[in-house]
Amino acid sequence: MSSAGASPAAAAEDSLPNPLPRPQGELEALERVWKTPRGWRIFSAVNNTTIGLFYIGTALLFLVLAGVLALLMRTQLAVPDNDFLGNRAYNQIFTMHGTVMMFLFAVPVVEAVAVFLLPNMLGARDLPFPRLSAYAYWAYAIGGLAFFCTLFFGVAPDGGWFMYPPLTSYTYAPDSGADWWLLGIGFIEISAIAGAIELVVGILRTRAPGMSLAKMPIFAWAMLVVGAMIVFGFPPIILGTLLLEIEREFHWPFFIAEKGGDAVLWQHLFWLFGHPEVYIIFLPAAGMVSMIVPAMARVPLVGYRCIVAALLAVGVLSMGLWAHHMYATGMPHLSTALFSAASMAVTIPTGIQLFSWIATLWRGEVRMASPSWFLLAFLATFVIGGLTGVMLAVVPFDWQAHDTYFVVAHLHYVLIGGMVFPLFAALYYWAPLVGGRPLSERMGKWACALMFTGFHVTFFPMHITGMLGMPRRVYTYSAGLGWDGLNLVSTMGAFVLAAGVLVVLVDIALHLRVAGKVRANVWDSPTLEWLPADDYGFRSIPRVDHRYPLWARPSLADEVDSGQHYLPGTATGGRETIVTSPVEGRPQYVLILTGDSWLPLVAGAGTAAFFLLLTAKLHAPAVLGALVALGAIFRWLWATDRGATHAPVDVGDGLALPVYASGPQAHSWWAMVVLMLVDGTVCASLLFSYFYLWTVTPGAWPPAGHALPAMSSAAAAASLWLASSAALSWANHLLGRQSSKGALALAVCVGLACAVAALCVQWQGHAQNGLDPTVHAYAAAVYATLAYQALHVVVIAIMGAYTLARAFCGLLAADRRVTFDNTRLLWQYTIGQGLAIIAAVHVLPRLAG
Amino acid sequence: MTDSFVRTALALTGALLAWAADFVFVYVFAAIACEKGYAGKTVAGAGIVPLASLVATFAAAGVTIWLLRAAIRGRPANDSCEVFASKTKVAVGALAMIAIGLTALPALLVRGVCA
Repeated sequence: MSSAGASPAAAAEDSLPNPLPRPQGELEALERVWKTPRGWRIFSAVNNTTIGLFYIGTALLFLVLAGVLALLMRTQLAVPDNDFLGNRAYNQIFTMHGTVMMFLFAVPVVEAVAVFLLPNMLGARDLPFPRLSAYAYWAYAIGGLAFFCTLFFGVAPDGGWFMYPPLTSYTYAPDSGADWWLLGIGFIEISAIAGAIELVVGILRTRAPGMSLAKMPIFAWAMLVVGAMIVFGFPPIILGTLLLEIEREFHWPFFIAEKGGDAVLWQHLFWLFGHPEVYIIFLPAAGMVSMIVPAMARVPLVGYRCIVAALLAVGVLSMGLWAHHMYATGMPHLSTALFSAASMAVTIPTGIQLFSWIATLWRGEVRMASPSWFLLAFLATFVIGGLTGVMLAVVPFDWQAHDTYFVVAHLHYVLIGGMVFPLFAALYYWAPLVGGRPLSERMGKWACALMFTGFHVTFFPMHITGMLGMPRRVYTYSAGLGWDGLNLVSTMGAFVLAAGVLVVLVDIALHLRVAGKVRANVWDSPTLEWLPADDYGFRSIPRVDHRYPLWARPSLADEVDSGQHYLPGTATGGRETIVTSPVEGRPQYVLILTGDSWLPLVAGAGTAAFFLLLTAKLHAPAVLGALVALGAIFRWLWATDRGATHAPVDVGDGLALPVYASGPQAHSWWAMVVLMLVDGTVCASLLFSYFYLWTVTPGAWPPAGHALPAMSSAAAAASLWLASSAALSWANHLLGRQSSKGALALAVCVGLACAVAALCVQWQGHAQNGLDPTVHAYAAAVYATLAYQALHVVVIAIMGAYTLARAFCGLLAADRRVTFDNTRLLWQYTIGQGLAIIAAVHVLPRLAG
Repeated sequence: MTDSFVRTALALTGALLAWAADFVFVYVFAAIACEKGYAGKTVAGAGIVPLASLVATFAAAGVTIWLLRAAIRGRPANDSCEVFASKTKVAVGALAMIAIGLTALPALLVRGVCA
């Protein structure tokens, strides 16, 4: 047996990892272990392929619901002075339309497609955290539907999908609508981040042996970039919603100018999320296009490396575009010009992708099936949306078109053109993976023609109504302004567009059936997801030595399906997949996956209940919901850190892989690091808010009437944080030496006591100075940093207690320490964050004089 | 190719991170200078904000050129993953150079930084 790190590429090309015939009962055991539950127990399924289908179905439901809202709006605007909807209902409907489309359809559906496709596309039996995916789905589905129902009770938000204060402050929006939005999307943010962790770790660690980064499908590249963008893009809105809700509930004036706050801070936090969000939606669609175009053109993608470079460039550049939504806020000229330049820069990598697709289509022999129709609709529409985007990136033009229907036209050209048409192309392209046969070609082409026509009839005239001065978000308008005919045309187009979507839904209802084993490479596609698959994914995990493995090796499907590649059965009697190295795809260990369970559903329902009940000010039931969620999550975690329950297993090719890994090799360590990146970005956003308020506050900082606590108090707090860190390092040392559980508990408890003491010292210092968070934004910002740190102390206390509980139950040891490692990571991060907050609040103001 | 993800990720995105650092510096410097009222100061006859912006741009361009040079010179011959990384680094570096160049333009062209 060779070592775990041996390269599969070293094997001769025709020497397959496992010989024939396979042992009797091997396939049956695999089927038994992976069997998807039937009947009502299907809701306990956690397999990503099943969850992916639930996810896609639910996201499409939200597309339909938000589409119906759009039709109501267009009906209202069809003629001037219409009273079909009142102004309040119209405000609620346009707010919910935007919110549902962006938060409940667009982001979830791209994650959903990835959750469904990636396991097979990467050659994994499943992604590494199937229960996390299931939890993300249930939190989204239950919470999303409840959130949507606010419309029926008249409590839906009405401040627009970007919820700008002061319109949404407690003064101008005293009812609960804004609260539903602010807390209601909390679970969506959690769901999106949980999905991103699953995708990032899955893409980096569960690719098939041999699938190096150079051979990774472009869709996986796109989702990797998008996962990273979610990690860095979502935290500002998480923080923003928290701050605005705290302001509304407790009157801490972050955004109230007369108390030192600034409403523009909200715009920064919102668009720090909102602009990457556009690319979070577009890049997966671009990844889908990069998969479909070569298959339909029957030639490899032109410029694979350039597309990867373009994806990376868009991912980074898009983080620097947020303020191009804020040209009208009075930013310095240099800043507006800077964001204008960055907006121009991002068009170049986007253009590279477009030309690459066109070149591939040009080089190939295009099969003009339904996916190709949708692709062409996408190319034409998205290019127009991109060009109007360049127009809006020019500051003087934006000042003229700002908040007019021109912007509405542009954003729909980009979002529907850039995401919905590719999504429907993907639906028609990958539908055979679900039921073994394609959807109706005839209906697909009709749907595309109707959608394309309806879309342009709806949105092209909006460019003109915008240029004629029609502002967005007005519920009606007077006759004779030159907008009447154009609005009527837009409304007629909207119904044609809806008819196109309806045809797709009918097609799905008539022709899509979920089959068990699927063997239907109807497009002669080149990538792994088209291998014969069942509940367990592939019979054996393929060895990959080409970017287009099914074209390079036509016999691959038969080899994989007969069990000649890696891990053709279940080596440990459980669900397993191979964890590989992140760059070259070298096999490292066999991951034993968690099985079906009701716990993710319970945890998801608890999470959604917590946020929704909190909004309804039912505090006790909300806490109960949170406890239910936490209980379910810890119950499922309890069974995960199993240790090396089996000797290394032979997966084929002479590789004996261990079944357990800890430290940086473990997949959960990677997940924890990604989670800490999210956490760190929330903290960075909080510190950005603090420094922003400092910058816009005239005169000294702290402002007049506020004083800093003595430096000795900050020094004492810093020393206590460092003592806490040392105590945990001591605990780590004790665990490595397999010392007594009592000593370990003492070290953890001392560390926790130091952390609590550090927090108390800081809190007391400010309280003694009479700092009141309701008086000035400075005080609110300082207490917000302390509250965030306090939250972390609570979390490490819970994780510490959980770790000790495992230790006392005999589930923690020097060679079974993943739980401890993860707790230690978060603990040390908390210490670092505490020190950073002390530097920002105590040291820098003194240095600045 | 060594199987270090952090090193590979930094190598692939290094040039873009140089742009990001440049961009953040210029944005923050201009915002603070304008809010705190020292944007009008000059050094050797040049405005402090355009000057700082150009210095940051040259620094970012220098880092990117260094990364590009390393990618072009250190191009391997036989490892497909290495070749992929090397060529992708060149493409990313080229895109980053364009972005850095565009980021420099406002400092050169905009009159009245805080207007």
